[in-house]
Amino acid sequence: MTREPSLQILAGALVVLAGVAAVLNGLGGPTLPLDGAASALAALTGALALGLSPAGLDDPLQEGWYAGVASALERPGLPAWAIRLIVLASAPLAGAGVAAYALAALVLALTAPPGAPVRIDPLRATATGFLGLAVVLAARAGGLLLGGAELPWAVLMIGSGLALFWSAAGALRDADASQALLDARAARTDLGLLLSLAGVVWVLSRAGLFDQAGGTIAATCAALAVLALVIGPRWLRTSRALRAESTDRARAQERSELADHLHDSVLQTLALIQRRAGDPLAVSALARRQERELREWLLGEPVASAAEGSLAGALHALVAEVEDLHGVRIELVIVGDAPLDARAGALLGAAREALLNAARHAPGAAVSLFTKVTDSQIEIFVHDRGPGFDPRAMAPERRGVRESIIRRVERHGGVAQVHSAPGQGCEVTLRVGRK
Amino acid sequence: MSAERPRVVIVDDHALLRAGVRAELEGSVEVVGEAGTVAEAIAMIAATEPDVVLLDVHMPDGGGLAVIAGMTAGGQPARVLALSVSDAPEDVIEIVRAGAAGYVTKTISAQELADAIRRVARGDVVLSQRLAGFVLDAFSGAPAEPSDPELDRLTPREQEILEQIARGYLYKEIAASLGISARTVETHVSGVLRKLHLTNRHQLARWAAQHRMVE
Repeated sequence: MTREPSLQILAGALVVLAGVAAVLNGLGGPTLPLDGAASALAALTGALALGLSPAGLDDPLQEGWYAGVASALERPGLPAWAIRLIVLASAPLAGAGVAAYALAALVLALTAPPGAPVRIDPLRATATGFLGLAVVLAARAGGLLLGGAELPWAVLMIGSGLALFWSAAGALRDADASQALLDARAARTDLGLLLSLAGVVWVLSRAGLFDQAGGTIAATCAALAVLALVIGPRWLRTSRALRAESTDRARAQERSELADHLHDSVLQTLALIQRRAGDPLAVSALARRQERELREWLLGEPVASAAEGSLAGALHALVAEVEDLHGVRIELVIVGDAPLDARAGALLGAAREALLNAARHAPGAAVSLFTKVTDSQIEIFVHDRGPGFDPRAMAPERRGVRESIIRRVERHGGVAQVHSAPGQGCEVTLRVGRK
Repeated sequence: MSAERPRVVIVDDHALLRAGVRAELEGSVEVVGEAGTVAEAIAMIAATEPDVVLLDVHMPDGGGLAVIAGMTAGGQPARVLALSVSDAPEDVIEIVRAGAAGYVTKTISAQELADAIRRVARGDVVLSQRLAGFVLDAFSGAPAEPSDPELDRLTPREQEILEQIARGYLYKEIAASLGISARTVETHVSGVLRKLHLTNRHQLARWAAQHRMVE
């Protein structure tokens, strides 16, 4: 809204003058000789002069003929020229078309997306009021007008009051406006509100509504309607601004959560890795654990808890534990799944022992854990590509293998075997029936 | 085709990873080009005509699938080895079904990666342990809508071989334990991959969606 201040003052003064004249006219005071085609012509000239001044033309947003309302409301089946025709045709009906047009212009401007420049400017709004008045007066001079002689004044008063109100309210959107400007706008808002309310009351009293039994109700309804007109668009805009703000806040919160998480996990791990750069095993264990955590976090659910109480979930947790404890990398492949009952639990315990053995006796070697669950049995294969050994020469004190692996599985009716030979790695096969 | 030192193009949108892989592969393969985008990759592959394209699954503008589509459209015979940080079954299955001759994860050791590239360059396929597990899982049980029993099911021998791969055995070890030649193992694995290409797509897609897992 870069307008010449002098023009703005002129427009404001005209509106105030018109309002004063209307009030005086309504009170039966000195009336202005505004009947007739000559006065209509004068008003039309004034409106054109204001509306088409260079300041009024440099608005790049105006694509239509006047305020762009018809072009904006254009729909398939409802071309812009038809809307213009309706507006012009309904203008003599107590200015209905003009008022509707002005209202539509206001709503369009106020429901523009946030960030779009404000479309209303007081100059153009005032000009609209004058133009409407000119149309009404011209129609009246031609004998086409419906309604009393004061109606044009009332229409002008309400219209310019609303225009004033909304021009100020629209300008309040500018975030960087100074306090003095905001104060001036608040004054404009109040004045506009007062003007339009006075206009409405005047119309109603002239129509004799206050003299009838239901007069109070009618007046209340009218006041409410004006309030709705005044508050509605502002409420719309505020709620939209609130929505935008809450979206921003949600985004900011998400961002800060992400930052927190990255700080707590990834940055800490990277710091640890730098400090322990000389220890390749520790570095790869750290990287591995961080990778797993980040994957779980990105997916939104820990893999292990996703399959709570299932063999697959327990295997994921087991592999994670052994990898973290011993810095080995275990390739885990699972086909099928089963509930974690006593038999599956025994197999899991044996698999844990086998993994720990592999980590202990084949450090740095590739370790695989393959699990296959069918309807009739569960099989787990723990395979390492370490140095291997001769199972027959296994020392009797290596209780781990006999007790923790073989006996444990056998107690549940299963079979455990250890296949190994020097230089050929080692594979522990665990098998248990499901019924 | 030079099977000993295959000519390789590395496609990945992370320059750091390209540099790392290139350094690792130095000496064992001949890296003839690198590309960081889908368009760059298609142009680079057309210009250098490599034996093997080492292809990142996840990239902007359509990722590895778009590169394979562009190669196919350009009539490029190069074979593709997919390389990814993602172990999500749907990604793995999609890229292999699109025509990749194998799939390995980015945590693979340099030695294994070079072996995989040489194997792909020879015309064989590379089935990682995890991919073998996915295939076994996808083909386990009776197919919901059996359209072609030949394609929708694995033979017992294929199943046996896949299980051994999943257990971490090399082809030559599998061949020894089954009493067949390594060449025959390769043939079986290629057959499995062919089934993966041709079988009922809906069944696989559903399976992959149900098994969305990270590890």
